[in-house]
Amino acid sequence: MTVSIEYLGLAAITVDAGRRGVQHQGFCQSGPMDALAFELANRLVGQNNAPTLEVIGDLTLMFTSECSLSITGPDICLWVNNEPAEVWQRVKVKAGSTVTIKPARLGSRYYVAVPSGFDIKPAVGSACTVKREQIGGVNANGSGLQAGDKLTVRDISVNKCLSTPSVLPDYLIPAYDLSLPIAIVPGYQHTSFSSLAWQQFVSSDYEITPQMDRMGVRLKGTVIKSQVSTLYSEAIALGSVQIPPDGQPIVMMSDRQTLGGYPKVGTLARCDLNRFAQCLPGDKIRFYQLDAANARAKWLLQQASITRWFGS
Amino acid sequence: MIPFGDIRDMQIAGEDGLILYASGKNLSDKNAAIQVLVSGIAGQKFEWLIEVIPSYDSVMLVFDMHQVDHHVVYQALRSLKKGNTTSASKGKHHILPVWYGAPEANDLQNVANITGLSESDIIHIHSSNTYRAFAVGFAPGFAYLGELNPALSVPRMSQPRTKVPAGAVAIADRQTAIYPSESPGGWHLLGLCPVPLYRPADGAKVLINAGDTVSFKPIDQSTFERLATQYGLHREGGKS
Repeated sequence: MTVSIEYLGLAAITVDAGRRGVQHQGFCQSGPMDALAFELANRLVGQNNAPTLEVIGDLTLMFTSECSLSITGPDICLWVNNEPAEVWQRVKVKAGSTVTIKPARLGSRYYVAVPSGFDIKPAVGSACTVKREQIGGVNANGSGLQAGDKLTVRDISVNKCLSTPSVLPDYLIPAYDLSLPIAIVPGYQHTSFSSLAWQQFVSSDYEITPQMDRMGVRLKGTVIKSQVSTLYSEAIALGSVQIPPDGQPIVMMSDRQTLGGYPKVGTLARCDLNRFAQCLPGDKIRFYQLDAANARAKWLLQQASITRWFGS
Repeated sequence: MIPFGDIRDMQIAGEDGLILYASGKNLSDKNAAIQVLVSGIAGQKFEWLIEVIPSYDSVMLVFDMHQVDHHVVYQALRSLKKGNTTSASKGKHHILPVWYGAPEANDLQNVANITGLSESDIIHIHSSNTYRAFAVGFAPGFAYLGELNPALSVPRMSQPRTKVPAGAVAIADRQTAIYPSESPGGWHLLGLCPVPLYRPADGAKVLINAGDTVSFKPIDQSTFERLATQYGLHREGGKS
């Protein structure tokens, strides 16, 4: 059973939940940029975490055997053999089917999951593709997918016995609404920023710049300054907001380097990180302060609502 | 969360992270305190622990939010038994051969101009010290080794190179390191090490861990070439 890539508009890599317990050796965390869409794509095909495609741009796939799949992400159109089909749910396709996916906005990321996942040899415990580390992915060297590549489904028999929900209730489909501010949890060198700098940070708009990738997203807006200038390099948490000397924030994402020496004002809350990850250059966002206990509670509630729907 | 023991400060690093900063009269002391804490934590096998990422004077813990919050983690750290927190597990010692002045990694003249030392003095000073891996990060297997003799301290290059070869031995400020893979870099290069620090195609193994010690042994070109062949190091355009 293979899934062949007939057409790829921009970029696609294999991801799973990421590498665990190896950042102290210098391996980046990796993992999906939009962890919520990734998780829901996997849940819809009966698992929590299996090798999945993370795609930017149009994609056409051909399935040699009957198979289920799920597509998740913001504003996506899906066709199966030229017939419109639904995203955010499990779709069954017949042998020889062509699946075409077009996102409304170029640059947003979407996920393609199949039951049991794609058969990707794990590197350092994960299927995640990291080019600069030369590990993971279909070629086991960190390179992304290309048109003509053939992927194997790990265990095709899983398709026959899927009993978990194949659809999502509306309340579980993420709203990628940027009119709502994004929560930031103060931390790290937060106290080295004046209260005025912090007030400015949470009360002004920041624009997403084209300098964005899986490592980080550079923002443009009100300049804020830290009173510390020298700092020994230290571990960078997912979603950390670094303030380099030019005062323009950089949000550190899945493939960020493990250590860095810029002061950090806090970290974006996990419950909002997926919404931030889908921002594109020119989008404007605003932040609001959320303390760690509330950020954790919001994330646990989000997780609990998913677990309740899927029954475990 | 009140600091305790050798911890001078603690800060939230996201809703699932806590970063601790060590006290000490100099960087070596602070780093040693971090290594002791890391050993103590490793001995406990906490089920909620996802990452322990030490660096120069800090260590970040990432925990499973389903199981615990910052307060539980703080209490667990406070109650680490004294016996577990007085010694760091002894790291490995690595003796790494270096072909100083290898043509594709040779800033010796430049370093000589900045420091006023001769090229042979630079090699002698660099290879007669034992360094401690203060941190591993930035890229897989990239170990920040310190501290360099102050006489060899040079600022980073104002214009970083777009391409530094794998195995390049480099210095900047009071640190030295070996580039595990080809990458951009702004440190001054002294030579090439034929021993791979990171082997992506071979289980992605990493040679040096934080807390290990490293010393360098000068070798000549023919020894380098023999070892490079033995270790399968690929030199791009290195035949000269």
